[in-house]
Parts: sequence; structure tokens; C-alpha cells
Amino acid sequence: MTARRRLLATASIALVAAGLLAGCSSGSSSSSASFSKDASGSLKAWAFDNADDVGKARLAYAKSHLKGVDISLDQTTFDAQKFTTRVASGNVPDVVQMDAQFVATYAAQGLITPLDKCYSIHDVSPSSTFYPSVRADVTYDGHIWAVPQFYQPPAIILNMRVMDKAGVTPEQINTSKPDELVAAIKKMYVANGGKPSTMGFDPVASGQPGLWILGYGGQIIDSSGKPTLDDPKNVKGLQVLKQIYDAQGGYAADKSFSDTFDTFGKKNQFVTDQVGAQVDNQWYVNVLTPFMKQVQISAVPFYASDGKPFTVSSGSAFVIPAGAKNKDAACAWALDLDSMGAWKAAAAARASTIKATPGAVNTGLFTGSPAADKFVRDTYVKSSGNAGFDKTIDTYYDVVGNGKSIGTSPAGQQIQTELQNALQSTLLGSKSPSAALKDAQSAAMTAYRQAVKNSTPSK
Amino acid sequence: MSRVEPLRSAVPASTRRHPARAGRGAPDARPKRRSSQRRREAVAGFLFISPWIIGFLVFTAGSMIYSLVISFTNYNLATGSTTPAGFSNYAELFQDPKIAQSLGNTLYYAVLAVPLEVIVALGLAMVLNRAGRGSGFFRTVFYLPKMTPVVATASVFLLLLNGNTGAINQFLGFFGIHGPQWLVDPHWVIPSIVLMTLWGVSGTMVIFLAALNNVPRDLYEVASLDGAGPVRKFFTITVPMISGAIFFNVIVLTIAAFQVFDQAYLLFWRDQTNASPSSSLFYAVYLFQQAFRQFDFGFASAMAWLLFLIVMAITLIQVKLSNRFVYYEGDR
Amino acid sequence: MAVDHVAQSAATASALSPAASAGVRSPSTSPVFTRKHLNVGRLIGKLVLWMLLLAFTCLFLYPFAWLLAASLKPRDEVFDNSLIPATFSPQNYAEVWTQLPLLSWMGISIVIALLAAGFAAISSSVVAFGFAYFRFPGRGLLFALVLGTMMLPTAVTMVPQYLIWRSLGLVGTWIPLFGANLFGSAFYIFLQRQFFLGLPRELFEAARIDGASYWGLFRRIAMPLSIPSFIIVFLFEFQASWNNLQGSLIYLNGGSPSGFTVPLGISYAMSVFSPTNGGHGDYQYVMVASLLVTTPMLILFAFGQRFFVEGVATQGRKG
Repeated sequence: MTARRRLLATASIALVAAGLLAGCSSGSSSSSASFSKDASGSLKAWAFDNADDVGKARLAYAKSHLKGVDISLDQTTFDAQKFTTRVASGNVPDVVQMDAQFVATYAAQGLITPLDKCYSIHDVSPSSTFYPSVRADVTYDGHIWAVPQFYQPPAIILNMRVMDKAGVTPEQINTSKPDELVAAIKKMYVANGGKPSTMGFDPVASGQPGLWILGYGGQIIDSSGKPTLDDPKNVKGLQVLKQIYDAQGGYAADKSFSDTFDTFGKKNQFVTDQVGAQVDNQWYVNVLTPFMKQVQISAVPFYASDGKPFTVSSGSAFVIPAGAKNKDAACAWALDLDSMGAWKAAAAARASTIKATPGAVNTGLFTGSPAADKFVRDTYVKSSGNAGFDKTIDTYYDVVGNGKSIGTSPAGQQIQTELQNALQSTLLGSKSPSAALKDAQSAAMTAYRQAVKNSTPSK
Repeated sequence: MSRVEPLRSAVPASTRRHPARAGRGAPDARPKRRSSQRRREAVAGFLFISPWIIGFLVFTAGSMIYSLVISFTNYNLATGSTTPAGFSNYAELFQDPKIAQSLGNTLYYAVLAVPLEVIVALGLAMVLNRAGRGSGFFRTVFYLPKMTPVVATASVFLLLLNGNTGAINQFLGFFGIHGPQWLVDPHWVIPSIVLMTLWGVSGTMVIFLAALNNVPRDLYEVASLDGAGPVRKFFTITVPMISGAIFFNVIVLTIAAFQVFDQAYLLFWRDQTNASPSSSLFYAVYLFQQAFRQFDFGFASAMAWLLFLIVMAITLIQVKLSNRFVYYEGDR
Repeated sequence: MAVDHVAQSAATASALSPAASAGVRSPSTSPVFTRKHLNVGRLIGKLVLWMLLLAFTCLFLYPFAWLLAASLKPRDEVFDNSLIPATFSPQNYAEVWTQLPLLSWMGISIVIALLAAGFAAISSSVVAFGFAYFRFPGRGLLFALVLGTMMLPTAVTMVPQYLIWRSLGLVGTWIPLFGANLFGSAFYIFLQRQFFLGLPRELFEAARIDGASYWGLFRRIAMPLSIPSFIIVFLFEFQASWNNLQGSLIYLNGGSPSGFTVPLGISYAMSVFSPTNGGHGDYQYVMVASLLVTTPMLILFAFGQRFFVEGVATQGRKG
């Protein structure tokens, strides 16, 4: 008993002492960020969670190029809290895949390494490899911080069956002419006992706020990274969204309705005619291809207020944490996965999958790189025999070059969250658009101030 | 099951027989030996409670002082270093609109949830108290939600509370009530979480049930003979006699309400990419985000101290009020 | 006093019964009228009571029935609220089993909960015996401090405790999730002290005369007699540990999902299947997982019901 107690006492004294010391301990300072072309040793990669046929082909390609490197993959999805927890406990992977919108935040905090030298030592030019908006998404403070991959442009998929029944033509689903659009939505909207059973047009406000704000000439983040949510030009996008929802039962009812969509299943919203039109990212076309016989779709681009096709970028990116132990291999691996060779291998793999699947259609790959996109489209994307699907696939290809970046900021995530808040309170009618944006701006500025306070000067 | 019996009789017995006091009745004949024995007993006592003392010094008192120190520093996650921050973290408490917002949400939740929990739990307890032979079965059934992990409750209620097709609105529809968009409409987010809390109210109910069992029956019978109706009996006998339990529950539930985290985190703040109404931001969730997502330890610690002061103040007010209203058995 | 009580109620009953059995109806004597009225009233009262009991039973059981039904439905029927699935899909269970490391989550949670509950019960018991049996200076003050810590919001010590565990290199291990339980916990100390106070002191005095050490008093007399309160503390802490989401988020979220606890695992499953996070909105799988992690708690309750109820009831009594 006494021995046990002595052990306890010793342990607890150690705990107190260690605890008090912990606050004063200092870690290693970050990022001299020089890279060497020689990749060797072991590489720990986290969050490469999209290991489908395309992913596997790219992994195999990268592996064959990094013969001396022992690669171990943790394929669980990126999680912001998990990432910072790992950084805090000093247990960081060498390379992490994350949504591109996180990149600037972690760059500002000094948690990831700038990759300018990673690109230069491997003779890869970011400006000639990626779409300008894709590159802009991972550029902050004059440096490029990530290797971006995939570029999911949103556009509008039309449900021709619902539209024809209501006498609505594709020309009327034109976001640059909100009044006509709202009239068309009203024609398609069907309610049952006060609850929507067909939405005329699902604008996916909460998923695509950037599209709606920037598309109507607004600005979310300025060039220095500060939030600009109270920009008077942002009001228009919110107003149009409110009109759209109010024309079909209101935002709350529509949101609860769309939450029940069997989006990936055999009773999805296009099969069951729950929507007349919907803003969707490009991958959704792939989801719909197995149901080609049950759906009648087409597509139109999102038109900006100036009447031109418009889209915003969203995609993922590879970053190298500041504390990574094998930065050289991480750099080489990320660039290899994103190289033309990897995309060619991926496209070939996808083509053979499609060949093996009866009725499958190649909708193309949207890689984030214009050259790779063009190669895939020219080589593999052939007529599907369904004019609606062909039109849809073409629409995405046509719009992909017209992307705009939302901008990068140390508080990028919080700014987006505040925008969501403004959006919600506007759509639910609890605040006017300008009042909501004003409140959101003040909250976003606080987040920005806190982010800058915690930021580490890099380099 | 009879094994529980000793405890049952033990609790009221505490007022009857106090082992420590019992020794005082037999004065020791030899004072010298007595004093050395006393010292040995005191040393042994301290040894027995030493685990708690150590735990208190490290995990409570030590941690509180440490937390106070941290609140005057800024922590840098990238370098793992701390720099002095003066009062800036406390100043930030007043500048950050989310502090006021999340405090407001939490307060609103507490004001809504605590009285409802007390009323519903007391109502259930009174119904059970009259059930007679069947009460055991119903008590078991009513207690089941309390056993359900919060994660499971949250994931089920996420679907039950769907504004269009959820079972709860379907049920309300039978009565011609057009139910709200519970988890989507910001005005209904907090009532939704209150609803989840109420589903698991049976812990509070059991405390009331025990208190009701201790109310002497004869009091009611005397009141009946005086012609008192059920309402008067409730307010003149039941409420005063169980005021101790009411007070206890109010304090405990209030402290718990200020720390609500699980439901709000699971339903709204689990993914950073989630679009969540600002009315779902509870103080404990914001504090957690600041501490373990942003790793802004200084600000999080300042937040924790603000919470501590608020909870302290509210508890003190409640204790002061209770001294006026609560009837204790011992005062008889 | 108890005898008085019984006698008094018996007296009241017998005083009432002759008139009631006679059934005389006399409008001039109001007590008789009241009694007649009472009988009808009592019947209605009973009816209302049973209807209320049944209504609450439905209210409390419905979510369980709904959960069970939803876990057996295909995705497109999850929202239909029917308690009998139109398409019976037991394959959901097999699917969840392959997609989520449920067994591993439950195993980890059980081990942590056992350790947390065991440590809490033992250490609190030792400390409670110290407070109950021994006389030492400052005892009252220290015990008041024990009770005071129950009011302390966990948030206040969350960050420093994390830093302590991190400095010991234990973040990412299970130890922070039960380590602090080695030092007793306020409520449990209170609960077990109440129990010890109820044991007659003569028992201990006799053992002292027989030469038992203080530890022996605890080990051979107090502990065996306090098994019921020990079980209560054990069950309470087991449940608390099973529910500990925040702790798991802080200490285990940095690791791989196969090393998660039950609450963290369900949170992870909600994210994986959530349509807002790139998932497919497969709520039926989340329902299966929720049901599976609830089951151990229900089994625990089936065996330890009395202890749970007794333990909760003790909270409300004045210490």
C-alpha cells in the first residue's frame, strides 16, 4: 500500500512539474523550405481518400516513379481538428490532402511549408500547369503552398421531364435574368399539403455561396486576405437567392426537403423528379450515368450578371506540414500524382473501367490542369448516344475555363462560415441582406484579427 | 437485488449515527495513549484521502492556476511557443461578437431547458408515484433514454426532427399543427436541443421520485380532511416538502446547461465545412473550437474563466434564493 | 415514528370504511357526498393516470422502435417513419460491419470504461473511507472542497489537463481518458462516504481491538460491506466513460479511426456518411451503428437497474 502510494505521489509530483513546464517549452521553428530532388526513405501520406480507379492508377504511377521511397497511406478523410491535433502533438504526416480552401489558413499559421522551391526544383511551372483560379486558391502572401488537384466546376443540371411538363425552356434557366428564372421556378414548383414535392430549381445556396456572391459581381476576400463581406455588391446575390427560395415554399422547407434526397441512390432527385433544375458539381454527372434510362437531363452554365458563363473553383490540394520529416519525398510524390503521366494513366484506367461496365459513360476528368483536361476530353470523351448527357458533359467542359477564385485569407474558413450565417439569416427572413452581411463582416473581421495574431511569419 | 438494501437504510441513518462522533461517547481512560492514537488516526486519515488531495492539487487547483497563467499568454501552434499577451485575451472576450452570441444562446437554452426539465421530471415522478404496482415497469421504460449514448440520441433526432418528413412534425400534423423546421430554422435550433434533453429527463425524475417517497402520507390525509383539493395539496405540501430536491436539481441542471456540448457539436459543428446557423453555437462548443481546433489556448482559457465566473455567480444567487424558500427536514 | 405513521393511517382508513360500505346517500351530510364523488373521481383519476403512463411510454419508446426500423431500411425509405420497413434490409448490418471498425470501437470503449470505472470506484472508496472514519484537522473544510469541485465547469481545467498529458507524451493514448480517475471523483466520494457513515462504528472498534490495521478496517470490513455503493459508482462511471465524446475528441482524434472510442466513432460515422461532407447520406448505416453502440448500455441497465436508480436518487438527498 505504501509503495503504491509513494508511486502515486511521485507520479503526481512529476505531473505537476511537467505540466508547469509544458507551457514554457518551445518547439522547433518552422520552414526553411528548401527541397532536394532526391526522394528516399519512408513517406507518410494522409487523407488520400479518393482511391477509386483513377486514384489507384495515379498512386501506382507515383509509386513507380519513386522507387526508393516506402510509401504508407492513411486513407481517412481530412478533418481540421484532427490535423491541428496532430500538429500539436508533434505527430504530423509528410503530406496531407485537404480541401483547397483550408490551405491559406494553415499557411498563415505557419503549419505548412511553402512549395515554390518544390515546384522549381522539379521544373514544374504552376502558372502553365493549372487554371489561374485553381492556382490562386492555393496562393497566399506571394507563395504557392500546395499542389492542387481536381477542379469541380459547378453548373446547372436540368431535369427536362419536369421542365417540359411545366413548359419551361433551358433558355429560361438563366441566372443573369433573375425575374425570368423566378417565373420559371414558380411554373415547375409543386407542393403537397404545404410541403414541396418538386422544387423548380435547387440553387444549393449553402453548398455554393461563393458562386452566387461572385456571380453577381460581389467580393468575399480582398487581395490582402481581409474579408469584404459587407461590400454592397454582395447584396444582389443574396437577394436573388431569397427570391428563388421564396418562389418555391421558402428556404427552410426546401432545405428540409433537399436533405431527404436520395442523392446517390436509385431514387435520386432526377429520377423521382424532385427537382426541375439544380446546381451541381461536375462529379454528379457520374452519379447519374447509371440512371441514364430513367432521367432526362441537360445542362446550362451558371451565367454571371454580365450574361457570361461563370464558375468558381473548388477542389483539393496536397500540402506538406511544417514539421514533416520527409519533405523531399512528399514534394516529389505530390507532383508525380498531379503530373500529366499520372493523369494519362488515370484516364486509361477510367476508360477500361467504363468499357467493362455496360451502359457506362465517360464524363471526363476535371484535373485542375488545362492540358490534362484537354487530353482526356480529346482522347476518351465520346458521344454517349444520349444527347442530353452529351450536352451536360460539354457544358461542364465549356465552363471550366471561366473560373474565379474566392480568394485566400488566413481566416478563409471562418469567412466562409460567416457568409453562410449571413446567407441563412437572409434566406430565413430574419435579417435584411445588408444587415446580415454587416454582422457577418464584423464576425469575420474578428476571426481575421485572431488568425493574424496567431500567424507565424513564414520563410 | 436485496444487496442494495444496506445503502437505502444507510442514507437516512447518517443523521442518526455518525461513526466519528460515536467514539466521543466513550472517553479513553489513558489520555497519553489517546493523544498519540489521535495523531496516528489523523495521519491515517490524511493517507486515505491523499489520492484526492493529489488529484485536487494537480487536476483541479493546479490546473486552475495554470489555466489562469495561460489566459495571459498567446500560444503559437506552429512553433509550440508561448508569448505574453497581457490582458489582450480578456479584451478579446468583449470584442469577439461570437462570445456574446454563444453566451446568449447558452443562456437562452438554460432558461428554456432547466424549468422545463424540472416541470416535466416532476410531472413524470408524480404520475409514477401514483402508479402503484406498475411503477417499476414504467420507471424502467422512462429511464431507458437516459442510458442511450448522446451520440445515438443526436443521430436519431437529426432524422426525427426533419421539418418536412420527420416523425415529430408528422405527429404534430395529426393535431393540425404545422410543425417548424426544427434544425434548419435558427429560431428552433435551441428548442430542438431542449427537446432532446427532455427525452432524457429521467435522471431528474428519479431524484424527484425519491423525494416524493419521503413525503409523509399523513400530511396529505390531514389536508384531505381539511378539504384541500389536489392543487392546494400540491402547493402547500408537495412543493415545500420536496423543495430540497427541486433546489438541488435546479442547481445541477443549470451547471449542466452551461456546458452543453455533445448535441450541438454532433449536429452542427462536427465538420468545419458545415453550414450551421449561428444560433446553434453554444459557449462550450466555441470554447472547444478555440482550444482544440484553432489551438488558441490563451483565448480559450480566458473564455473558460469567464464561464467559471458566470456559473459561480448564478449558483451563488440560486443558493441565496434557496435559503429563503427551501424547507429542510433538519429544520423541523 | 414509523409505527405512529402506520397507526395513524390505519385509524383514518377504519374511520372512513363503515360509512363507505353503508353507501348511505344523504344530501345533507357533505362528507358522504364527497366520498361518493371521490369513488367516481378516483376511477377517472386512475384512468387518466394509466392513459398518461401509456402515452409517456410510447413517447419514450418510440425513438427506439424508430431507430430499430430505420436500421433495417434501404436508404430511400429511411425518412418514411414506418415502423415496419417496406423493404427489409438486414444487409445494412453487414455493410456497416465492413465499412466501420465498430468492433474495435466497442472493444476500446469497453476497456477504457472498465479501467475508468474500476479506478474511480476504488479510489473514491478509499478517499470516502478517509472522510467517513477518521478524525483529523481540517476534515470539514476539505470535504466542503470536495463538494465544491462538483460545481467547477470542466472547461476551466480542459486546456491545462491537455498540456499536462501532452508533456507526458500521453496524447493519443487511452491513459488521459481514465488516468485522472485514480485520484477519486467528488460525487463518488460523496456517495460512498454517505454509505460508510451508515455502518455501525462498533464493527470497526471491535476489529481494532482484535488488532486490525486501519487499512485492514477498510479492506476487510468497509469494502466488503460497501459493495452496493461500489457497484453504483462503477456503473455510473462506466456509462459516463462510454459517453465521453469531448475527451475522445481531444485525446484520440489525431489517430486513425480504428483507434477511436464509441462516441468518437459515431461522430466520425456521421461525418463519413453525411452528404455535406462528401458522403452519400447513408443515414441507415448511422442508425445501425447508433443502435449497436446503444445495446451494451441497455444490457448494462438490464442487470444493474436498481443500482442506477438508487444511485441517482441518492444525489438529491442532502449530504
